[in-house]
Amino acid sequence: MPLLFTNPALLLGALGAALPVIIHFLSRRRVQKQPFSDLRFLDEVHARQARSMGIRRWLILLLRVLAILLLVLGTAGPRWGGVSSSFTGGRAVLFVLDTSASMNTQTGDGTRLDQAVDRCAAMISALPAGAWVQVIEAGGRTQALFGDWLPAGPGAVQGLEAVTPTDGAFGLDQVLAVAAGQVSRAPQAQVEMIWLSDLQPLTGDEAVRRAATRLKDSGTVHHLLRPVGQTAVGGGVLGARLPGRALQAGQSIPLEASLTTAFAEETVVLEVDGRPVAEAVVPGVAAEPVSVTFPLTVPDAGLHRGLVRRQSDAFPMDDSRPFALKVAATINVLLVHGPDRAVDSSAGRGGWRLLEAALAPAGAPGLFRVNPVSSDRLAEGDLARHELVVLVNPEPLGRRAQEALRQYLDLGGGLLVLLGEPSQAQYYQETLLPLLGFSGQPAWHGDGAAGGQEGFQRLALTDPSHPVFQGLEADALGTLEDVRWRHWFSLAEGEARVLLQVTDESPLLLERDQGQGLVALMPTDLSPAATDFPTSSMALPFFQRLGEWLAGARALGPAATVPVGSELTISPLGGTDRDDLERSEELLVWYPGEERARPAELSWRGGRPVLTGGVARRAGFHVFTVAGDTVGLVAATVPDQESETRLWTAQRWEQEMAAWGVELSALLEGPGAGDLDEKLVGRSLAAWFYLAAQLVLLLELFLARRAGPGQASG
Amino acid sequence: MGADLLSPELVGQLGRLDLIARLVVEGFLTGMHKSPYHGFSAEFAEYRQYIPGESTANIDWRVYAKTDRHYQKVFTEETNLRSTMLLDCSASMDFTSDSKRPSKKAYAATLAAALTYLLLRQNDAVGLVTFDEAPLRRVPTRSMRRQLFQILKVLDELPPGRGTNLGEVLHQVAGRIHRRGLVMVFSDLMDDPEKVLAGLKHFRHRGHEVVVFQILDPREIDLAFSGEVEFEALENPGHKVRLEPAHLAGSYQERFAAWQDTLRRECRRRLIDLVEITTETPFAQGLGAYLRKRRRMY
Repeated sequence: MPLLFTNPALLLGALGAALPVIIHFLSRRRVQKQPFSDLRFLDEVHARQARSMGIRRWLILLLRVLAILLLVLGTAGPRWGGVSSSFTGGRAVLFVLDTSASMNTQTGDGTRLDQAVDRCAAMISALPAGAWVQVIEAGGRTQALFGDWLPAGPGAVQGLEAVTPTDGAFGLDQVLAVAAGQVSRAPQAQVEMIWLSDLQPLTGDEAVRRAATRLKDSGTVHHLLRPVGQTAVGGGVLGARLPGRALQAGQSIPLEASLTTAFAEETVVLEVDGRPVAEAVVPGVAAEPVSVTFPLTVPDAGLHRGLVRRQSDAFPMDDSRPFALKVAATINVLLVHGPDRAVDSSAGRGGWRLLEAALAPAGAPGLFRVNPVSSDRLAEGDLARHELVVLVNPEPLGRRAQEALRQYLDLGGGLLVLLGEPSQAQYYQETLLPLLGFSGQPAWHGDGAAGGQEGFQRLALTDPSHPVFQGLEADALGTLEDVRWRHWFSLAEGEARVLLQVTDESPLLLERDQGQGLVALMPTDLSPAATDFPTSSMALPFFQRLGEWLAGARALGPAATVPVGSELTISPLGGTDRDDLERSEELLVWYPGEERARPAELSWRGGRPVLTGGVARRAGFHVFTVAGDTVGLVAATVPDQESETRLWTAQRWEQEMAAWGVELSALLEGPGAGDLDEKLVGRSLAAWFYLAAQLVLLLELFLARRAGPGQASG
Repeated sequence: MGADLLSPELVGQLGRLDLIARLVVEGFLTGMHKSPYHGFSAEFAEYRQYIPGESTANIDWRVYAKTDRHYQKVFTEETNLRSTMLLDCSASMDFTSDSKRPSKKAYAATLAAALTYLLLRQNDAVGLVTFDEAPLRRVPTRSMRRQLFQILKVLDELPPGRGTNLGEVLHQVAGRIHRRGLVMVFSDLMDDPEKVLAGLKHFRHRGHEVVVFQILDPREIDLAFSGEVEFEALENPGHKVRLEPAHLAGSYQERFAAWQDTLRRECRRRLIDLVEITTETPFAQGLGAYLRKRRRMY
């Protein structure tokens, strides 16, 4: 940090330091000649003190020069420690105004955002003439406030009235990207970027690092941080988690809410469709997140609005957390099996009929509606109409079928695959398993015998807490572990999770994410030669649970719960006619708190209709309608990081930003804009220079007085 | 005109030394309440019986108190005080730091003239010796009226000074004054103190009373010059010292004071009256010093 001067032209005044030198030498020339009576005493004192007097005379001269230099330097406006290196030209200051949800927290007379805007206005007002200003709103929507850089002044301050709070999160990568664009258009080569934020936790990835690099490349930027409103604390509902599977009307399910509280003995209420259905009391004050489980009886089939609500505090936005609840009347299952052969028993090839019976037992209307189809008759579009696809020993699939399967998974579909034919091992290894995200060479295990007890191995559960097994009694789990298996492919688990295995630890049920969807793989089948599972009393509940989990976990459907700032996307409720969708000009999305709907866009993905309605700006329910009928529901929630209990300190913020490549130059503190100038252009040292000049003059006066009146006046 | 009002600056403007001397002395005497000169030159001879009808002025009342008889003092002869003035005319005496002030030599001459007037007025005998590095002129000691004009003439014609050899000159002069009397030296004493004191001691040795008027310029004492000054010795042209007096004034004053202390202490030890005056000092102070000495003598 160099020493800089606000008025460097005044440094020319340093030439005045030559004056004492000139006067000194001129005065030495004006020697007074004085006849004197007797020089004996003068000879003595002159010989003894001439040298010290000479040194003192030069010292006095030096002090006078120094005093003038200090006065000139002080007048030129010395500054130290500022991030800016320019005083003469205009200054470009880019303000980043955090407009995220947490900035709505009440502090004193207003919200944190009000404080931030006030301080931003004060800083703009304090900027010198010639400075340029731009403001980035950084919240649910990240954008430059002004069309272009504005001169600092009342106009820019008035422009701050357009700043609006959002319910979204602070998107660091987006801020840096917008900033890079603004810096490249800045009227000055150097830009001071002032962040005004409450320092809620930032999340970032490689995109942030790339954006930071782009910002660095766009120009010279100094970052200054001004924390705002960090004193208010409170609680909030951080999440509401439904079981990760398809829900069926009348089921009793646990709904787990995660929250923090600000008051003792808070009552937390669960509401469905506006009616309270359960409540719980959180003991004490939970500063750290605690989990509350509500018992919930699943309502009728359809779309439902859920809400977990706690006592409101200074930040009411996160005190009620909405969630969308879809209750399916039916889960459509496409069961793709290899064509039956003469050698196959009545159970079908690979036992697919047994699986069909397990999912949809005859005579009992259930959740699943199974549509079996032979793999050689699989038609384009079949997958898109089903919430669950099951493959049982399929014949090699064609390219179109493979592509449809990939799209199906990319859209979040659930897929159950049973592979138990040694003759297809090469196809499995080379085509199907890689398509599903598995790798390795499947090794067939089995003696080929069709009967007897030889070679059977029992099942073992590796993760009883998995949603598929959650809630099952110990007896049921024991019964499941009594199931025996004899034929299977030994398959390396790789990145997949193992749910079931046989006693030699060969995985018998693996699951992994693929695209947006889920794949459950059983490297065996249900043929009587392979297992006695179809005869087990646990076969029906196991496969139904597995089906519910696969069908309900991630598939793009008519209901979704997303954080504010996310794209509003749904796939309309099943039964919505394609022609109705394409003909209707009333594809609308209703935003929370708005009386007028906005148009939604229709697209088709993998044969499935998809409606998009823009980006969620406010927390609450967004309703999609087609010709007046509700076809989708999206609950937008305040992002988790906006909860005020997790605010960062300035030091933490600085460390995290540095890790992403954004180096903080200065921390702005104080109530107003007082220290802005100091941080930008450094601390004024003028007073110190003047003080030093005074001290030097006092010292000079002291020496000159000791030297005598002649020097003092000279 | 009172003595206090007759400052050296004003006296210097009067010009005529005889007039100056008279003004100085008359002004000095006018300012005194009682004349201290009455009966100075009467010398006691014997007592004789008082005869009624005679003046009672000379009756010795102390004798009457002891013997219960009236005796009166008989003065057989009235003698003059013999005073010799030694005036230093060396070059250093020509120094004055201010053209408005008299030089040390001019001041000394004026003071000597005033004392001459005063002494002759009391019928004392007075003489003058001028000298620099050797005796220059001598006016023999007499009490005649016209002695005043002899001395004033010499004082009016003082030559430009040369060097100083004060100690030797004092020895020479002391050897020539045979009758005891009062010796008054007018000098700045700018010479080796030991030699000067030895010369003065010579006078004492021969029974003289000695009064030394040490006449200095004020700047010789404080060296209060401003700026850079090149000093040149009056008695040794070519000997120069270039310095800023302001730097050295303190040390100079210390040395000067030590020198004066030496003179002061040694004079006191030898019963020599040292009267330190500057060219700013009113002449009355010099006259007063003489009278004090005169009173102690008689």
